[in-house]
Amino acid sequence: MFTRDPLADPEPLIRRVHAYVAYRIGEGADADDVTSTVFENAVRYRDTYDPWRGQPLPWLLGIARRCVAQALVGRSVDRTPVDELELTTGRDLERDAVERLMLHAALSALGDDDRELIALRYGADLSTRRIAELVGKTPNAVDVAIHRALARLRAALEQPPTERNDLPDAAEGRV
Amino acid sequence: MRAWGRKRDELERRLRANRPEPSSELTASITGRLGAHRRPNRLGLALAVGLTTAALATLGAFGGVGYASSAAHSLGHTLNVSQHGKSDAAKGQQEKGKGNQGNQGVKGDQASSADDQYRGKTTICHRTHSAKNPFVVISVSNNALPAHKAHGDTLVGPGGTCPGPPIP
Repeated sequence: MFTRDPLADPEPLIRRVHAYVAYRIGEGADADDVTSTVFENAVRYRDTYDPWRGQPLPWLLGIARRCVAQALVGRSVDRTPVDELELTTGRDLERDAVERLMLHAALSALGDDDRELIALRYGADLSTRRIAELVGKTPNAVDVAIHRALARLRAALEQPPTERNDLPDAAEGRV
Repeated sequence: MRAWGRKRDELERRLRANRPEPSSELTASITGRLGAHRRPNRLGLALAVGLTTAALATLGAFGGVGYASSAAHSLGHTLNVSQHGKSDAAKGQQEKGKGNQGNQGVKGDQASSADDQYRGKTTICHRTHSAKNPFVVISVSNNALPAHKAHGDTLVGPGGTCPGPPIP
């Protein structure tokens, strides 16, 4: 009866869900579409939200993870190396823009699990405990996995862009 | 080891700093759609109804409703009297040249809310049998007047003097 509306204050939720989605599938129209879909589904299933089980953000990220999975399946055929194109044109942009593009390019070279963890930790800004609840692992295992994901991301960032597509993790991570 | 930690911190900082932000159009469109499907704040409504019921129940249990009603009645009476007083005072001003009758009328009509407290009572000079202070002025119930009369009490004389005229 006394269900709190999980979407009462949507703006911070939109920012964090969008950051998660964009880290997961890359920035752009796709990320915007998936973010919109997440909130459409959230409105539809709003009554299933139980405030006793947690904050609205993890609930929304549960919806977002399913939406991202669907988006990645739809992308399996035409995964174009957009990040590379952006990176070459990015040479003329300012330093922070280049850094951002490089980061996203390196992220796209990571495996699915690594990218998921980085998106949850640094995109949605979830704590290790919340991530552990979402992905069904122990907090310790999540910490170790994030540590490894960061190591792989650093390696991807240190490699020149041309070599990035040959990374074993990249092939493994793409659907 | 320390260098590794620094590198990790730097990478985390970059990941947080470069966190993708939604465009204002996207935020506005989602917020707009959510606004159209906004759920009424059931919790707030339930809380308001609950608190009101609890307050009424508490007031009822301690006679607060009767007290509030009596206070409201007294306030209404006071306002009414002051209205009368004002209009009579205006009349008195008009009749100032004709004598003091108008003003006396005003005085007679001006009842304060405290008069309610003395309704059904009479102010009398009560005999004390004391040599120094033979009378005290008290208000007694009209029902007790015969007993006071038998005791030798009198009404209050003009100007509040005691003893006054005998109790009828």
